[in-house]
This record gives sequence, C-alpha cells and structure tokens, in this order.
Amino acid sequence: MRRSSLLLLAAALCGLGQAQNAAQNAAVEEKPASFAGEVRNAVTGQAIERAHVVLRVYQNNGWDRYGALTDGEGRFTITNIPPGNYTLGLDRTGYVPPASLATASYQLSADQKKDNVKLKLVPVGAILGRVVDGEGAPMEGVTVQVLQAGRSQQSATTDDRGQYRIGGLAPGKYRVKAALQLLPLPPEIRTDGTAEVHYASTFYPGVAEERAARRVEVGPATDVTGIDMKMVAMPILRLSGRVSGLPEGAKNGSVQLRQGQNMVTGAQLKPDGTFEVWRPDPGKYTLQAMYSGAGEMVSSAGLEVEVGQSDVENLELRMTPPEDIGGQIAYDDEGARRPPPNPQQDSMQNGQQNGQARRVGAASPGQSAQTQVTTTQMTQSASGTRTVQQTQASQPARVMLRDAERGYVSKQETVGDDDHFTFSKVQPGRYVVQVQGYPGYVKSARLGKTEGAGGELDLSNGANGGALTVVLASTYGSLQGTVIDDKGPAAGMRVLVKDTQNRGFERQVRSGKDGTYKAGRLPPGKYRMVVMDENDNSAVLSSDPAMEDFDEAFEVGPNETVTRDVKLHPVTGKLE
Amino acid sequence: MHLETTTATVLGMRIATLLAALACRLSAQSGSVDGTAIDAVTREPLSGVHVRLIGANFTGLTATYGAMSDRTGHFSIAMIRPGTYILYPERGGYLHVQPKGGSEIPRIAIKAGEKVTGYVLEMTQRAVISGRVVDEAGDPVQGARMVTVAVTPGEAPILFSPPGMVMSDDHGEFRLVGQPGKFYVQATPPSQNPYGNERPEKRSDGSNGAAYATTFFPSAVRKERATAVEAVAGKEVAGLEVRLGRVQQGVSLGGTVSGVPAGNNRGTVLMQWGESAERITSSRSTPVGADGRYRFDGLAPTYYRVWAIYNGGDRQSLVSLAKEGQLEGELANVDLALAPGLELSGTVKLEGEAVGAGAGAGAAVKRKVRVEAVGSYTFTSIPITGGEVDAAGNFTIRGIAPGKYRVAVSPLPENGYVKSVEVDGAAAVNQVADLSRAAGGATVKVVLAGDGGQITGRVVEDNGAAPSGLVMLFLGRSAEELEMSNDPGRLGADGKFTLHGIAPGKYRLVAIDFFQMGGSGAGALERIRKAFVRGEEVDVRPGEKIARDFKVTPLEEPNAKK
Repeated sequence: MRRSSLLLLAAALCGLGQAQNAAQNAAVEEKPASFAGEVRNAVTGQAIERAHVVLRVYQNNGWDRYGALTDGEGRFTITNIPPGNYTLGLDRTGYVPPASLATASYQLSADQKKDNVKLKLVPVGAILGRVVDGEGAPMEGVTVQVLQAGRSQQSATTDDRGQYRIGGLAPGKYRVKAALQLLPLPPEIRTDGTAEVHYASTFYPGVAEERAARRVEVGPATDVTGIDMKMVAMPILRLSGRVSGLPEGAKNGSVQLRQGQNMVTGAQLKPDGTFEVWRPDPGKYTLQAMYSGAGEMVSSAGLEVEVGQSDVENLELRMTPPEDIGGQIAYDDEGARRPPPNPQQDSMQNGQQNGQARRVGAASPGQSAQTQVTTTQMTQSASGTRTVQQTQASQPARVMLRDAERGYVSKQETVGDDDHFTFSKVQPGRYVVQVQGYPGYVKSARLGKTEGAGGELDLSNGANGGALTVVLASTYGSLQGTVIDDKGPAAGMRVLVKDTQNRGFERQVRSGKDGTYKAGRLPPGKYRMVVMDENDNSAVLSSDPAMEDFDEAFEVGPNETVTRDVKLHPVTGKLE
Repeated sequence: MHLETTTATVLGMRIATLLAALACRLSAQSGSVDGTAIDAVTREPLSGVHVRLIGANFTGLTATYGAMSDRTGHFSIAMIRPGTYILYPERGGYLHVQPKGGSEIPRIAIKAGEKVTGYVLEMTQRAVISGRVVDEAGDPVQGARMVTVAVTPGEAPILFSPPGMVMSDDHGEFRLVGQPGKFYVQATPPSQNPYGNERPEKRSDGSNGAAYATTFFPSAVRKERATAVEAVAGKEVAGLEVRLGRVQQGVSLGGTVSGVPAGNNRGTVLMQWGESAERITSSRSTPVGADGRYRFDGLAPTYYRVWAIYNGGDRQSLVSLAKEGQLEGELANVDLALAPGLELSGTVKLEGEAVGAGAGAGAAVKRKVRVEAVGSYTFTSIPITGGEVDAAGNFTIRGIAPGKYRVAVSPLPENGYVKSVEVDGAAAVNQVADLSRAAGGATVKVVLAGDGGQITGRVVEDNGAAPSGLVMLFLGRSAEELEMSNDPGRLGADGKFTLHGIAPGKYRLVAIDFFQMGGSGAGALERIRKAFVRGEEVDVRPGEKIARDFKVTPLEEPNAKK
C-alpha cells in the first residue's frame, strides 16, 4: 500500500503521466529506438530520393508502422520507434526491393540508435511488343500478361497498332501470353460463305502450349523490345461428358475447368446431366462438377484433363455427397507425440514408462523451438497468410485436410486429448492430411484398406464410412551440401526446398561463409530444390511445384541425410 | 450382293428424302437477318465487323450464328432457328454502343419464318483517354486503378465486354478505352494496407504519412470538384495528369469492444459503408487492440454500419449488435458489446397437427430450419450452427450475427409451403425475421401447410410460340413479394414450367426475359416489380392443380429493333 503510493508520487513528480500504466507496463518506460541510413540504386549506386522506408511489427492483431522518406542524398531517419523486432519495407515507383529484404528483420532495443543502414533498390525493366492476327494485321484490345512460374505478374492491353508495354518488372525470366476474351461459345453457324477463325491464347514466340513458350529475360532498368506474337489459329475444341449421381431437385448444376485455384471456364449442366465446354485452350486442367443443394454447394471430386489438339469426350464425373469422417492420431514413434503441458508431472509419468520414452523426453526441450518453426512454415504457405509464430505449448493440436488440387487447407479440426477428431462434411476429392502442434510429421493416412504415404488421402469416391488413422513419426531427414559459383564456394546464397507431393512444404536456408548449407527436419518424401542469389525472385514467387527448369529433384527417407552440392544458376543482369 | 446394293440404295434414298423434308421444314420455320454495319458517327458503311447472334436458355447456349460484314458493310445470316438472340458484334477499334438508356442487353428476336431485312448495326469508334498519375511530389504512381465515371449516371450504356482493369504503369501512365461521352477520370491508389490490419503509419521525419485517397482528375478528392473530360469517338484525349490527394484527416470511427474472452485473439470489428443504409457498397475490418479499442481511420463522410465478432469456433463464437448511422467527423465512442451469437429457437408445426411437424405424419422426415441473410448483411460472420428439427418439432439455431434473415425449412412436405412465420409473436413478411436489433435472439413459430397449389404450363409469346430467351418466372401476391433471392422459376427449353407448393391466394405471374430485366441488380428488381401489374392473374386454391399457359409479360416495348 505504502509502496504503491510512493510509486504514484514518484510518477507524478517525474511527469510520467498515467501512474498506473507505468507501474503495470514497464515497456512504457523504455526509451524509443531510431533507425537511419541511406537508399541507393543497386545498379548505378546513385542515391534515391523520396524512397519510402517503413518498419513494421505485428502486435495486438495489427501492424504498427514507423516510416520515413529519403532526402536528396538518399538519407532517411526514423525516430521514436518502440523497441521490438521489425520487418522492413522499402518502396519507390520504378524500383523493386531485392528479394533478401522480404526475409530481413531488425531487432531494435531500448534507446538503440541504429544508423548507417545501407539499403538498395533494383530498377525495374519492361517488355514491349506487338500482337498481330493470322494475317499479320495488328490486333487491338488483346490482353497481354507476363507470367512467372505460372502466375500473372502484370498485364496490359494492346492499342490500335497492336502494341503493348508491360513495365514495373523485377529482373527475372518471364513468359508472355496474349489472350482474347474467352467466350465459351459453340462454333458459329455461318451462311455467308466466310469461315470463323478461332485464336487460342498465344505465348511468345507464337505457340499455344505454355510448355513450348520461350522465356523472356528482363534485366534491371532494361526495356526488352520486339516481343511480338502472331496469334495461333486453331480448331474450336469441345470437352464433353456426363455427371452422374445428381440428386433430384439439384439446382444450378455446372462444371468448372480450373487451373490451380483459378477457374478458367465452364458450362451449365443440361437436364440429363451432360455438359459441353467449348473452346478450351490447350493445357492441363482439373474438371469439377457442382450444384447447389439445400443452401450449400456440393461438388464432385476433380478430374485431371489434358486438352491438346482435338476434342476430349466421354468424361465421367460422379457426385458423391459430403461425408463426416472420424479419425484418430496414432504414433509410429514416441518422438512424434506432443510434449505434455506440465513437464514436472510428465517426468514422473515417464519414469514408469520404457526407456525410449525417457530418451525422447530428455531431447524434446531442445527440439521444440525447431519443430515450431517447421509447423509454422507449413501453415504459412498453406493458408497464404502470415502466421505469427507461437510457442508450441500454446499451439493447439490440429489436424487439417489440404486440398491437393487447389493447394489450400479446406478443413481444420482440433484434436481431442484422446487423439480423436471428426471432419464434418468433407467433399470428395484428393487431399493431404497435415497436423499442427505436434513434433512429428504425417507419415501416412489410413482409411479403410487404403494407405497414403506422406498423408495422401484419395477421397475421390468418398470415404464410404471409413475411419481415418493418421500416423505420425519424428524420423525426419535432412538436406545438406555446398553452394558453388564460378569462383568456388558461395556464401549467403538462398537454397529453397519445396515438396512435390502437394504438402505445401517450403523451406529456405542460406549458405554459410564456407558455402555450406543445411536444411534439417524434412519430412521424408520427394522434393525439389533451387539455389538463388539475393536478387532472384523467380522461384520464391512460385507456387508451381515444377519451379521452372533450373531446379533439382531429390528424395529423402526417414533419418536420412541427403548431400547435394549445387551450382548457382546464372542470373539475369549482374548487379553492381 | 445385288440385292444388298439395292437395299442400301433405297435406304440411302430414304435418308436423303427425310433429310430434304427436314431441311424444308427447317427453312419454312427458320428466319434470317440481313443488314448493314455502319459507323455511327460518319454513317459510312463498315467492313470487317464480326456479327454474332448468341442464343441461350437456362440449360446453356443453344446456338451461335455469325457473319462478317463485307466492303459495303453488308452482312447476312440465314437459317436461324426462331428465338431471341444476344447481338454481339465486334471489330477492333469499335464498340457496339446501345442507344441512350440502354440498360438492356442488345438482342434480336427472330420469329418463325421471319426475314429481318435492312437491319442497321451502328458501331461507334472507341474513345481513348490517356495520361499519368503522380503523387504530391510529382513522382509517377504505379498500380493506381483507373476508371471513368459517367458525368450523368444512368446514361452509361451496358457494354457487352467491359474493358478489363486498367492500372497505371511504372511511368504512372494509363490508357482508358471506352465509349464517347463526358466522364470523370478516377484514380484509386494501390492498397496501402497490403498485409491487412495496418494501423496509420507514424512519420517522425516531417513527411506526410497519411494515405493517398481515390482522386478525380485533375486533383479532386471529391467528385464535385472534379473536371469532366469529353471522350470523343475515334480520338484520344492525351496528357491528363491526375495528382493524387491525401485522404481527408479527422474522419474516423472507433470505440471499445467489451466482452472479449481472455487470450491473444481479441476479436475483429467489421465495418460496411455507403451512401445510405440501403446502398452499402464497401466493407473493411480491423482487429480489436489489446486495450479493447478499435478504430477506422482515413474515412470519408459516409453512412456506416459496424459490429464486432469473435470467432472461437462453433461453440465459443461471439458477436455484437450492429450500430449504424451517419459519419461526418470523428466518432470515438461507438462501443460494441460481444455476446454469444443470436439464437433463434422455436417450433416447426405442420398445420392441423397438435404436435410438432417432426412427429406424427412427418416423423420419418428430418427437417432443418435455415436462415439466409437478405439484403446487404452478407458479410463475414461467425459460424451458424443447429437448425435440426427434433421429434417434438423444436429447433435452435445458434451463432447468428445481427441482420435480416429469411427463415426457410427443408424438406417441405409434398406440395407444402411455409404458411406463416411468427417472430416474437409478430407475423414476419416474406418469412423475413429482422434480427438487426434483437438482443439475445428471437423465438420463431413456423407453420407448414401441405395443401399448396401447383401450376403447370408453358410460357408463350403473343403468337403462341415458345420463348427461347432466358425467361424467368416471378410469382407474388403483391409487387413487394417479387424478389430476386426467391430463386425465381426457370423455363425449360420448350417454355414448360411447374411451380409447386404455392400457398393459396391470388397471385400474378410475371414472366420476363432475363436480358430485358437488365441483369440481376437493384434496377432489375425495380423493373420486375413495375411489371407486376401486367402479370397475368391466377387464383390458387388449396391443393389445386392448375394447368395453364401464360404470356410473356410485356416490360415496355416488346422489341428494340430499329
């Protein structure tokens, strides 16, 4: 009592404001930090004026931001920053930040004056060209996109001379695609003697197949001109088939043709359940049927379809109603179990168990931090959003169904203390079972008589009332090696590891001073890896398991260490 | 061998005769279109116009006809099956602009045997508006979303293929292509909240950390101060410079959120805004801070609606009542109290049964009560659970956010309908329960009846032919009962329809072509309701099965042919 009134008095005298706050929250008394430095052009070394520098921190469910603009000498100063761990943002029209900035973070302590921070911006390039029709006449109003690893980065529309310009491109390799508006119309009936010309979406240098497209290399501050395309005329194709298992009264039945998560085209179902999708571009798709039931959409499992140069016929899709699937978690080894909430109580219990359990129990405190990183990463790429890292103890045990075709988590359930869970209303399809909050990875998913390695779960024909057993193991593998370039071992290079079994696993590590790298705790399975320098964004942006053509495949088994020495692939435009 | 050949020849002849006969029948019935494409401004004939006629009904596309206009602008399509077709002409550098007030999708009706001649297809050269977007310092701004806003709203005709999204490039440059007319040019700066949930940026170097606002040419944050640009057919208005302005300071909305459970998750506040309560057009959300407060900054004066949610899964989700009103300046005390989601409980009873509809005759049927949000309350919410009707006819739905909901029951008894819905003792119009201001929830009594009427028939044109457009059926006892969300009936390809489970009463049946309705927006609903008085009357008695044909309801003029 007396102490608190003394505090109150002291606070009032010192002019600290709200005394109660000061007493409760020591952080308020911490002196703010400052952050200062300069921003330069990564190619010319010149100072950049009016670049926007911002420090961000996520707390209390939102981002706090502290920013400044650079002056004529490229200098900036941010003051009054509460101590904390910040990520850095840097932007200026006409430039992109180097890829390394995305992973950079700054720990600022109380009263710290961090200055002389040297930042770089990479000047952007552009792609210019012209689109003509089959007779060489310019085409107006054609949408031209630049794609990197299958994703559209920027787009533009051709003008009356058929010309386009797509600017603001980070240095890298791009595919260029010209597309007319897709109208899924049957072939026209004409009686005036003319013939209809149908153009497929066309990739530079004038091909309809994305695989045959040539990539255009854009360097920093470079305009790549002459990327001209003649639209490819092709016959009007039809994709047709039938949907079975539609219940009476099903409304708005339709089929969709998807590439990844993007719906490309589709058609309504005819009353007899047949469908016709006209004018699909050549390529690989997933076909799916759906209808609206009592207030909800019901969909079929996806069917892989490849469109080439001819019609695709007699496709069969079957509607299976969504099902509840119950299951339980099983453990292949004790290391895969969640650490108990109370360590003291737990060690007593463990004492009565076998030796292996004790050994794992002893090892677990050191491992838990690493485990948490693994699970967080898997969630991060799964949901596409940033996940704030949590300690494993506070992370609830969860089991998830990841849609293998669309690449996102479609069901997530909390696992009970008895290791049981229930997924409700699971649509048919192909899934990968994943867990969160466990030190282990999913070794297999068993449903009835079928067993999927790595958690693969094929519910294309439904679960048929079967119970799911998710087996966890902790026998991780690892990848290691040395990154070399023309001069020998290369330090500070980024090695990106991605799984190729639809698990959405992605890990990035950097090579050390001697060029060596190590990516530990890899769930056994098939992966691809690529090594990049800091200015190459191409593979990081990729959601495509193919990761273009400069990657390398490897497979890792339980407790196995794979060694790969990798060469840095040549990048576009040497910087500084 | 010889015999076989003869048989084959005879058979071949038969097929040929049959085909010829069919062809005759087709040509007797089919129509044709013959016309000239011209430049709407110069009145000169236009060659190379790709004329398309697209036939569609609710089972998909029926047929597509095409032609190319020749050097004299002439085009012709023969052997067209009677029906209504969407007219979709294309030519590089030209647009098909509908005449003034053209809220209808352009189309041509071909009757059996009709030969449409002298059709004049007017194409307008597109107009171009180009320029660049700069910030306060005159630096180019990349990624600003550019649109034109017609000076006189409502005059902008429907374009079949609206140009895609136009963004300023790394030089700040943009190029807008569209129809001639007077427009404001609007630039929406790239999102300054890319991660979501970003609080206003603090600047300590004296620079302005406020976000840039949506700005009209030349530098107007409000449309009243904007300068209109005249877009001329075939011309390019170049060199416009849009200088972005900052968002108006001091317009904000905030308050406290109470009732947040302990833990890292503090809940989220959702905000919708627009011109008025009926015209909500935008939405945004912000997390609740550790101090229990929320705040939306950088707003413009608007009508707002705000509420809080806490999504803790099926069992632990909370929601506050919505607060709404006019926002002019700083509002700092819009306080929200989280509480378990609204609960709708009550009974479902089959008319004439003493016990609930779950028992007695319908005991084997598992019914479920659903609530469907109506109007603009269709924003993110907490999970709604429950609704299963038990053996005694009772049900409970939990986790409903404040709003207006239509109460539906499925499955209904054969030829059954929802006879009445009572919410806290008062009859609910159109089965809609208003839970906008309900505290805790409401008690609902649903009465189902099994004596619904049925109407079977065809919808026909004046001449008795089946309509081949996309005709939708609306049945109501008053204009207000006609609603888009009621999932209006659709015609089969032959114009046939069946409507089940109609509550006894005096109705009008409105049958309107989807394209005449002008899509499915608010304007379309007004048109349908206006057409109510022209709909044919039908009196449905309990259990009655009516077999009758109905005429397409005239909207205004039957055909927009020139």
